Amino acid sequence: MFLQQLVNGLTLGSTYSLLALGFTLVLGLLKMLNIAHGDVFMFGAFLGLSFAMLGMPLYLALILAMVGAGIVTIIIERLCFRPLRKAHFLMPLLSTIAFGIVLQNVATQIWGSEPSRYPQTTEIAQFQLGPVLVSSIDIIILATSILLMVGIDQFVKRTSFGRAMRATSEKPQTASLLGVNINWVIVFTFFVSGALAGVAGVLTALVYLQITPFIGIRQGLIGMVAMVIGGVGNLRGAMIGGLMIGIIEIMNDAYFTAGYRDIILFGLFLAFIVFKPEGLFGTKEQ
Amino acid sequence: MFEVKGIEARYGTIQVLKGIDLEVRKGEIVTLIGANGAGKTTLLSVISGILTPSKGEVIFEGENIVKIPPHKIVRRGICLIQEGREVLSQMTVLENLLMGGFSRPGEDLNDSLDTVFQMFPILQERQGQLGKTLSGGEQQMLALGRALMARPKLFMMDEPSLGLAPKLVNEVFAKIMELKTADVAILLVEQNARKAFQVADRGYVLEIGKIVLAGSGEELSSNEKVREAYLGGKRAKRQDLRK
Ligand SMILES: Nc1ncnc2c1ncn2[C@@H]1O[C@H](COP(=O)(O)OP(=O)(O)OP(=O)(O)O)[C@@H](O)[C@H]1O
Ligand SMILES: [Mg+2]
Repeated sequence: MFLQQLVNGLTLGSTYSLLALGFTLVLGLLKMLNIAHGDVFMFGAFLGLSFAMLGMPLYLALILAMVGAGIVTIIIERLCFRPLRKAHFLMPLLSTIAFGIVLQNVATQIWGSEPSRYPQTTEIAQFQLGPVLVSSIDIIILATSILLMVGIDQFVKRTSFGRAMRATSEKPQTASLLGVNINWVIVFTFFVSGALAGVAGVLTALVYLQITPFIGIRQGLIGMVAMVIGGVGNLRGAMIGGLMIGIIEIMNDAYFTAGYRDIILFGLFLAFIVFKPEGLFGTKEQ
Repeated sequence: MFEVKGIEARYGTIQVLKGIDLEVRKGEIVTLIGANGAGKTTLLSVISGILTPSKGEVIFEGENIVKIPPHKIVRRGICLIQEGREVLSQMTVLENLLMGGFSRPGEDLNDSLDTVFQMFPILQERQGQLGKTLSGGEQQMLALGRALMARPKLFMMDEPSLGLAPKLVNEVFAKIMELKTADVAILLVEQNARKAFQVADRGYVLEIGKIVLAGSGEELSSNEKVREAYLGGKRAKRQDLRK
């Protein structure tokens, strides 16, 4: 029973990790928060739904939803961040709140405000591994998340472009003097951030099998909780933070009552912000 | 090969550069000296593309480059070592050096790395260490090495001796002499005029946004007014130079 819940928790948590990773990429780079991130997640889920409805195989719907969500996030950068780079730091916060609400309403116009049911895209197989029952959906979610997380971690750590991203994050002017086109780095980072939210959206929808235009709000906040627990700007921290929240959430529902879920999670959020703002893995200066 | 013509620049309403003319030829070390706030860093910002001038031209290899963004200017072969070195503190020494080669995409950087390690053995020893853990002198060496990785045709250095002990200052200037070859040009901004004149072929004196004197290193260091104002002679009012 416990092992089973652990697997469920990891599966759910890995989608939170993807969200938190996207949050922390942009926040770590620009020191700015994209409040519309959760709504990009929602939009990605709907895009995936539409592509699946067209009869596309899951992997194709997933990739197209990623690209679509990434493009939406590039639009956010252009509209809500770039013109406001020299403005008061609250301005992009407000502009992305506005964009998020616009996105919710666009989704409502396209897909309706009633829950949309996700089509059955793959044969669901169940595997009995000792005491644990794992479905093919779980495996797809875990494998996709782990692949993306390891891929991004290594990309940022080892490639030339990843170094340019870190240099831009620390000293944008110096990076540009070294030959980095920082606008391109920023656009690319936003794209990746949005693509991760989009994948997370589709994967989450595969679990719950239905979505509404309003799921982005809680998901966005949960992503933020995961990011803060892991330490803002810390990629690995965000991944671990997401997994932790997934496990806490599932364990709470299994052994406690679901009604306490958000009290515990957001209580934890508050506790971290007040008592340990650098998170589990961040350094004090962040 | 490199020429600044009538550059004027402002921050908001304050005019900082009031028409600068200056030239650096291949194989030369040219120094620009001036007191705090004279506009030295501002001029380097204009040349490197960080700041767009309100007037004037920067001619590099026959082309006006004032409207070109910094990342493209470095690709053309002008590299700025910023005031305060600006080492990437969260990246290792090796990563800093590799970033130095970022402006040469697709090229093999191993040769350049070897050259840098030969010239700065300390950087090879410390290659896995984070930038922020280096001492001031080592950071300056890293800044020089990182610039070398870009294989620039024009090096610009903003007060490389700043905040270093005299022994390290000598070491840094020795390295600058080593960088001098027939096909590179060096523009050296300094407040340490004595050291700068020792290595420079020519020099300019900048005061409150204007070049007030120009000449060879010897001419300038024997100039009475320069001696008074910049080489620790009798204290003179800086304005005297403009008479
Ligand atoms: N970003 C800025 N905004 C407004 N004013 C500036 C800015 N940077 C420099 N200044 C002003 O421009 C003038 C020239 O500054 P600059 O940094 O070019 O001087 P400098 O010769 O490099 O001095 P130092 O030897 O102290 O480095 C100074 O009066 C300074 O206050
Ligand atoms: Mg300066």
